[in-house]
Amino acid sequence: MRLTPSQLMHSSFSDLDEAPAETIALLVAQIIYEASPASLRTFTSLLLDRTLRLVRQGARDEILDEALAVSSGISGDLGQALLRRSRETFGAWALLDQMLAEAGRRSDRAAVPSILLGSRGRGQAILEFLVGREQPVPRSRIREELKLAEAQLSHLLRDLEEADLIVRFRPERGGREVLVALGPVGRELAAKEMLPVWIERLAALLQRVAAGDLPDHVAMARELAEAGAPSRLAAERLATGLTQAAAAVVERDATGAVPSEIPIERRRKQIQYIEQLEAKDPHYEYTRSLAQPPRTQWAS
Amino acid sequence: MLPTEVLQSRLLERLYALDHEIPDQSFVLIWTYFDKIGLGHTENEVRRLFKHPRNLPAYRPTEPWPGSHEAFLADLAALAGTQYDLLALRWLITLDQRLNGASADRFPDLFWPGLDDNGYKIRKRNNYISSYSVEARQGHSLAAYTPFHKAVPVEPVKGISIDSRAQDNWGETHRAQGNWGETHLHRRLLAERRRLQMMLWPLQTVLDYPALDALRLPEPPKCVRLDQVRNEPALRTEVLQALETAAAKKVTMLILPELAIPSQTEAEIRRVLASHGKNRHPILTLFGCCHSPSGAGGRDVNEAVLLGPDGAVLHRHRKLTNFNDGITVGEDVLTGDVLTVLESPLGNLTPLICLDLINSPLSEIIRLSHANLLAVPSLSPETLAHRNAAKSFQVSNQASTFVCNRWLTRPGSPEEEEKLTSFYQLAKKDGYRSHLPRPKDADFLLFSLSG
Repeated sequence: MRLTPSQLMHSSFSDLDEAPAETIALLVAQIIYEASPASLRTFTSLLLDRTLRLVRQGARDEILDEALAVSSGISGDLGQALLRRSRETFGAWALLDQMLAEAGRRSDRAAVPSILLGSRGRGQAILEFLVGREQPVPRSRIREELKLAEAQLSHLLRDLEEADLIVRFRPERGGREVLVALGPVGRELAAKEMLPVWIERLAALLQRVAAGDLPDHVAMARELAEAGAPSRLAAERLATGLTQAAAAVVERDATGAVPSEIPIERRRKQIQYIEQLEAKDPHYEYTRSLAQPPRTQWAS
Repeated sequence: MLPTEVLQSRLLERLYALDHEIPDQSFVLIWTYFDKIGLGHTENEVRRLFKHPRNLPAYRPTEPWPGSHEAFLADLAALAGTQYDLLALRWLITLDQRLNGASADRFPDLFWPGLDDNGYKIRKRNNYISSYSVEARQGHSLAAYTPFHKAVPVEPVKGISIDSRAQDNWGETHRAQGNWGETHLHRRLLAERRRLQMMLWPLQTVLDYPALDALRLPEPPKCVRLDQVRNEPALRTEVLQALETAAAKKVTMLILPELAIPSQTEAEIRRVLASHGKNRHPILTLFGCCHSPSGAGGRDVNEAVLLGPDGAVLHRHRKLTNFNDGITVGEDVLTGDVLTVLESPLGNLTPLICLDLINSPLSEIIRLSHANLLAVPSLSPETLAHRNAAKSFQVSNQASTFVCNRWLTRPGSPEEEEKLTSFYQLAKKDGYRSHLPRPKDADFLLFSLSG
């Protein structure tokens, strides 16, 4: 798939909102090399919206495919070209890529869904019953609360235990009642049901950035570090990514939507302005020579 | 070695002196304590009380972190003997989980002192295959209790250093030397969790090395230099067939044997992969190069090359051990001194070459490392020792081992075939499958995680 020069010029990517990640992957190279600066910002806004939607609601496969598409734009020659063209856009895409990868990494084990969904989802019900309980739960209580037959409960607990979703044991100081608690995989899975706090916080900050409200860099880094970002350095880098993203996206209209089209007259003026800048300064950031010079196409 | 009681009191002393907000230091101290004393009686106690290591619960005092650390120390100080060890082990599980939750990314250049005063870095295990397997949590090693992290020595051990190559660390270009592969490659490997496939292609072509002619002389040489192959066109045809099949089957990693690829065929492999671009399979290709000059002192090297999807060289592993047993024909090569662990979303990939897997001083270093996805091109008249080593790493590192083996000649009898097997040994109880190089058998052995 290729975009027409008109699409690249008028920044109209609204039809790509719900497009599959494969389509985005096909367009990334063309956008980096050929799109106008304003179109690049619009496309980044589109990626930002898609990322927020996927991270909050997307299935694992969708998230992983989107991560593949975005990461292709920040790796290798394409990444170098994007970096040369717009450091802010590169930073914004790198931020979105990290977010998607982190969400995708929280993937469940292939064997686990079938165990949880088996027996009409009762495995899932047991796991949910155990989530958030600090203390192990007596086996009899699970049977009573979930109204399960003894034979069925034994069968379910065995399957869950074999997958390390739960553990069963007797109390250390005697007692006949078998206790049940989340196992290592169960704990991990329970944590994955929700995104980690720092990703939620990052998504909220990204939402603010998209709306044109950029918080203070230091405050963002502190907020992310306190929310449990992987490290202080990572929090710092995420804050830098957010700052760059603010410069790499377009201004929204009153409804918060990305403007679908920039008036042609304004675009012409922008091109003229960039040409003037280039004439004055050959090292102007947005007009350094790229593999395929975009300006000739904007003018067509 | 110091008596256990002395080590216990030393551990307690060191734990009291720590900044409790940083779980890393406690993890390293307790890790090195158990590494020194072994699990022994503690594991017996675990089995007696909980039947299986996986049932051993983490220790969770009621106080929130970091107050819980002080509560743990107060409880630990009141105990002795096996009960002391059991509580320390449960706290190690707590720390492993806490490290996983609070601080997911640990940079390769941060390290902490262990109980033996040596430096240790904490690395993530990233063991996707093991975590997939429901049988993986066997005992006899700390790997059964700390599935997420491992403390790895910083200083070289017996002259071999463990080099951790991290995945992309938040776009840290200034630390590029500590990373491997591009971001997109790691995202592709992450996405491969949906369909991980490893292909072992031991090559049916009998390689005609000119150097082996000398073995027919009345006084054959003890060492040979396998740098060329007479029937290279036939070899190249099969290698290209392997690449095509791997692409068609969407194989994540293709492994070819040791000393099988002369320089011209290597260039051809890279050319074909370059024509594939970055989005096709195989994502990784590992093969053993023929002997080639090192440029240092005129000696040869025996290397395994790891290529990316577009043919770019991601890593060159120099064989760490010289094969020269005095019985079969040997080699005289300049050996390497680095065990490289390439951390990836699928596991900590460690390319080795044949004898590296079964050499006994090196086994100890692999055990100390966080390697758990061992990819081994091999050229050996039998692979029983390889399988025993794979089983041992299955326990110590919960490692999955993939050995692609061939020998200089085609086997003449079924007994010889049995010895020559390529195989994989997964980090699970029944995760063994082998491939016999019979002409009737398939050309390759394929492992697929989705079954």
